[in-house]
Amino acid sequence: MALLEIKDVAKGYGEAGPDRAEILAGINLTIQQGEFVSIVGYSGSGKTTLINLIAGLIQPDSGTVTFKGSPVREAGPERAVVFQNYSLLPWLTVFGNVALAVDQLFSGLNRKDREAHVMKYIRMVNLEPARDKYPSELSGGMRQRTSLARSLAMEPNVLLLDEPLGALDALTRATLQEEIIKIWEADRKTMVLITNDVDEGILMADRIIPLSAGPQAKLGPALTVDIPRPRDRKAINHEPMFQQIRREVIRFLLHSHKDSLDNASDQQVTLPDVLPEDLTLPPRFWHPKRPPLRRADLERAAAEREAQLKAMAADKEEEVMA
Amino acid sequence: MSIETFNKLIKFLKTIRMGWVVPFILLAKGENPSAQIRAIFSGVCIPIFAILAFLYLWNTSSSLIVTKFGTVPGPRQVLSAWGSLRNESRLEEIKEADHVRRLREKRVDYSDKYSETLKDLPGGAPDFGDPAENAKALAAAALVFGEVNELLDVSNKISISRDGQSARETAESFEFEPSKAFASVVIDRLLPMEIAFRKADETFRMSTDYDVLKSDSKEIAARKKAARHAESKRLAAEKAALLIRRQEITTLATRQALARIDSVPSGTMRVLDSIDAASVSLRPKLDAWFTAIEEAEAAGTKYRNKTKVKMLNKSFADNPYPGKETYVQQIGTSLKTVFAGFLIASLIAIPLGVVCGLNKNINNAFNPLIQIFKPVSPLAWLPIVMIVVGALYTPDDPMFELSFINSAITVALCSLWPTLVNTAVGVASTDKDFLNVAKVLKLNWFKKIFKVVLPAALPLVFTGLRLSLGVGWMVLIAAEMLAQNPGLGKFVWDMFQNGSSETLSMIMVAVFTIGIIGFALDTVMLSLQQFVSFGENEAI
Amino acid sequence: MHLFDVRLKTNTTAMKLKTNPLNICRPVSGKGLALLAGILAMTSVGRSELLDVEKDELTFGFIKLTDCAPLVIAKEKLFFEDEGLDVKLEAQANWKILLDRVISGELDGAHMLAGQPIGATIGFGTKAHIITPYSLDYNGNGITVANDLWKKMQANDPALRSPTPKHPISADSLVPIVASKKAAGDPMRMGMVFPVSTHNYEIRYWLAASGISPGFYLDRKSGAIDATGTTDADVILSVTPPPQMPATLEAKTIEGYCVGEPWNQQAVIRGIGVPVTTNYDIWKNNPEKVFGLLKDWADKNPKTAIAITKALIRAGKWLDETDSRGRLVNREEAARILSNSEYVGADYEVIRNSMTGFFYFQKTDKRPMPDFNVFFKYHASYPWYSDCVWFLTQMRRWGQIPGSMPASWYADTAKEIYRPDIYRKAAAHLVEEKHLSASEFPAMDTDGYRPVTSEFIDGNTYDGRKPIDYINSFKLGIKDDSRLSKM
Repeated sequence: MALLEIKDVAKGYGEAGPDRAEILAGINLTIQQGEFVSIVGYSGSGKTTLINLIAGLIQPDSGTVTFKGSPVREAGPERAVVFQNYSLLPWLTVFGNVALAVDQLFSGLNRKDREAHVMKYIRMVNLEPARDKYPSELSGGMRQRTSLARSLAMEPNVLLLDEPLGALDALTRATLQEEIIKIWEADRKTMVLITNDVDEGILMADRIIPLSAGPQAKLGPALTVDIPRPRDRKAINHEPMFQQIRREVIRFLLHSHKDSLDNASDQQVTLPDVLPEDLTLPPRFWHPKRPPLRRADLERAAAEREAQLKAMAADKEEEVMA
Repeated sequence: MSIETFNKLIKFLKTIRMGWVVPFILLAKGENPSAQIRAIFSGVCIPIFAILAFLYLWNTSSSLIVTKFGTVPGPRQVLSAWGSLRNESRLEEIKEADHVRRLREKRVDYSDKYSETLKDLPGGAPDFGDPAENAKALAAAALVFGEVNELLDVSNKISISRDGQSARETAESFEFEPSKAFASVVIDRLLPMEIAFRKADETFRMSTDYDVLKSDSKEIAARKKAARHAESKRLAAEKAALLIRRQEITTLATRQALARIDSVPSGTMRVLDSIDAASVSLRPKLDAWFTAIEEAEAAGTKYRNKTKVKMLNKSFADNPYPGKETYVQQIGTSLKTVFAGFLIASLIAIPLGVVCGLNKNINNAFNPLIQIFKPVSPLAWLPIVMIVVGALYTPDDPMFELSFINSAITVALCSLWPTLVNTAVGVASTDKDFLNVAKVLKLNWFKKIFKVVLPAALPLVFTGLRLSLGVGWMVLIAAEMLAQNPGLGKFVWDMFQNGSSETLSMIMVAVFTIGIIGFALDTVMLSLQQFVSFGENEAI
Repeated sequence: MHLFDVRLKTNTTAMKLKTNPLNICRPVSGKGLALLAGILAMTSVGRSELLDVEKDELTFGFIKLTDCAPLVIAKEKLFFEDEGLDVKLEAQANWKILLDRVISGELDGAHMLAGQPIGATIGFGTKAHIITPYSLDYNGNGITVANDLWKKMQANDPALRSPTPKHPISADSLVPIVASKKAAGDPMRMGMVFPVSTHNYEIRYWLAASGISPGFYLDRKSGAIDATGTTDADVILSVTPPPQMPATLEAKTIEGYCVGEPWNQQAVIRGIGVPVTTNYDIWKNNPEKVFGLLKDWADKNPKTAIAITKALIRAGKWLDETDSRGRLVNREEAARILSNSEYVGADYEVIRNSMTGFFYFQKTDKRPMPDFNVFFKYHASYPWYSDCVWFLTQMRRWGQIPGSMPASWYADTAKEIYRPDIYRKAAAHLVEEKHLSASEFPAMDTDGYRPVTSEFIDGNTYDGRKPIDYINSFKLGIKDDSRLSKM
């Protein structure tokens, strides 16, 4: 039996009508125990939505997500998520962040054992010297390690990695890739990695699946990465299989992108010109709903600004001329 | 000191608004001197210069504005008003010491008077030590206070004399040497000025020549006006000199008096202390005795010495000294009131804010009410509070004064809103990722609130609290003025009502006190706020 | 530049310390060395058995006016402490707040306008049964008119055209001015302190004595109540807080006012008005302020009430102490004490001017007024029923008491409010303790009514025992059925 099964799942946001945005449609995916699967797609194609569906943070509009044979109704520690933006609680230290999870999930253990448990995972991600530091005192890589340690400490069945390395510089990114692979190899925990970096996906995963560009993004054909481990990040570039998988994935993604553009022009459907709501802004009293942010407005503003700058530059030139 | 602790220290200094010290420290360490000097110039010299400029402008412009209380006082007058407030509180100290002495005297007197009764006291009569010693110590203390009081009274008694002769007569009626010696100082240095000024003032006021009558020609009127102006200037100078001299002399007397009190021999002090100790230990016994007598009487036994025991018991009561509140005590009352109000406000606002932040519908329900009540001034709340509290709070032995409760509740009503709104916003805007973490961890509701939502909202809650305290401190003065709570507000009102020549400078002292304390409170709250704001977003 | 500016400028220029925060205590005993003879000797002299007071920590309220002096003196000269009372004095913002706080129990007692206990007890304004065991003082008010009005009065009456006109000055010369203003539809306005204050009744008496109607609180035809007291008014009277009187006069909002000191002298000093008469001229030795207690409080604390009265009597006597030549010897010291910021707080010179027996009617017209502030002399501190009845008759005369009442009601009400019984007990203690002699108090056989007097500005005769006849004796005022006088 598959560990995780997604069947005909569709998900969209917004009320029915022109503001409705269909994100995912007809998603089918099966993941086996111990597998390392990566899903590659464009930014904004719905990858995070997909992982939230798997985690149970959101529910599909149609179709089912089954985990170990039973449908996923809510989030839970057996499906730990490493969030794209770390999601560390800034008022807790590295230790505190990990301990929050441990104290909640292993309340049966005594204090000492729980502490040992926390330290085990902090050590696993090489953060022991920073155990008493606050997130604000950490670099991006260290923050993501903390997040990773927290998720691992939950001892989940599946680790869902939501573009964990997206915001990191290349060097840190490489180091962390190695570490994640090492951890995976150590106990072969099921991992689902979401990324927009095809190379990363191929390097790390057993199986790579492209996600077409939205709206109504679909999964492409799964490609098995049959490159023996440990994989060397420099050597792998010359591996023919790597190159082929890479080509195929990219072709699929490009094609799907063109498709969706074509579709759009064919069907004369204008995309809802709405940017995602910025949840970090405080809600306002009286008008709880903000007017939607529209891309067109932003573009117009940018164009105006540019024009203004140009005009200013022209003025300057004239001045210089004079 | 390691670099790390040093950096922490610097950061700490900055959070408590002492950032201006930092360049000095760095300069001492020799770090980039020219940059430090620039920082000192902009962070220290410019503010000091601005303050000096303000003082200069104040000083020069104040004398130009004439009010019905005289000209607006300049910085020097305000400073001396502060000095006289301090002097008043020292005198209040002397008064209190004297009160304690009289109380002690009364106790010994009573236990002497009722020594017969005391024989029946269960557990025996009080041990005051050697009665002769006691008497001597009390007499010595009384003598000192007699001297002190006479000393302090000298300048009053002398300076109201009509002439030198009657002043000397008055001086002769003094009992103690120090006051006699002091009297001659007052007669020599103060009295002539006092008499001269009184005379000049009287003549000036009585003189009809200075009245500008309608019949006068313009020229005559102008001449008289000029004469009057000159006269008034002369009198002003005379009065100023007189008052300065008078203050010097009073201060001198106070200093002598304090020194005299301090000079009570330590042997005497020890005896007095032992009397106090004995009386303290006797109080509970007397209390118990009197209760027993009352119970016995209720059961039907007549006790012939009941009243005596009761009076005895009373003389051993420790009533607080009923003196006037000194300025520092008034500041204390104000602080107590504002904190009480602030506490009430926080206890209401934070939970309510959390509830509003968690649930949009509750938020929508409360929102109109919040928006309507938020801008209401304390002056509107206070009468309502006074009537309602007055009706509800009627205990026989109130733990808090009604005026205190009225002001505290008014402060609470006005300072509730920033905390409420900020808590609601803080809770509502909790990062979605944090909530996702909570979901993944399956935290229950309580844990979610206390481990995730509240800590995440804390910086905003503290911003709200800081605003609330600021608002509370501002409305407090108005509330105290009307509710007659004996704090700074009442001080300002009383001074205003006094309408004396000191009125304006005293009120200005209060203005500066209010400002400085408000600033200090804000700094404390700001430091707290930064402490809880995860070191990320610097508050301003 | 006004003279006033000079004075105050001189004051503020100085580094001022109130020169007397110093009245700390009187010498502990007669002679310092006698103390060494022992405590027993010292204390057994002046003091007899203390009263077993029910409550010994007390808070009294006062308004910052010189006539709160007996309270302040009783505290500062330790008369309260001698009675075993720890008294705290608290200045109040205004008469209304003071009364409210006495009623709420925040204050144990207070310095009150004589009309306040009466008004409160009969229910004019806030209703509460308040009693008075002690009358704080006689006289002390004046009526001041604006300069312009004074000139017009002088034009009407040649006798006033002198730097020192003959007193008392009646409102006769005001009559034509008032009439012409009323005819022009802009009636004259004057200020007083409080609807039940003595000032209200005094200015009304003065105006009415010359036939000018100050307005009624009751429409005599329809019976409608008029809380502003301006029905049928020739002169409109309005309430103005004392400290604001001079400013309001200067702003021409009012053309005259009746107020206590120092606000009449202030008008002279600032050259904005002329005091035309004092209330001493309107009625010689008229009651002014009283000490008021809630009746329930006094019932619960009878011995405390007596102890308070004892201390107040001693304070009153101290204030009116004279030397062999009849000069008030303690008034300057009293002025010093009152000038402390926690009491009246005005400048010493200002308080002294009003307390030491002189009064400036104009800058050029300084007259001795030895009886301007009477605290104890003439039995001023005794709560005379007749004083209470006088206020009641005035309240009836102007309609504050809306219904006709029989003569007996006046006597009964006075007995409910004025409590000479408490005063008598206190006096007996003081005589026994040899602080005062029995001759200093009204004779024991008095019925509580002062002798019949006609020392009023209109020469009318007042007999407190015949209130209805007195009410009906006025030309101007509400009249009652004369049969009520027998009831």
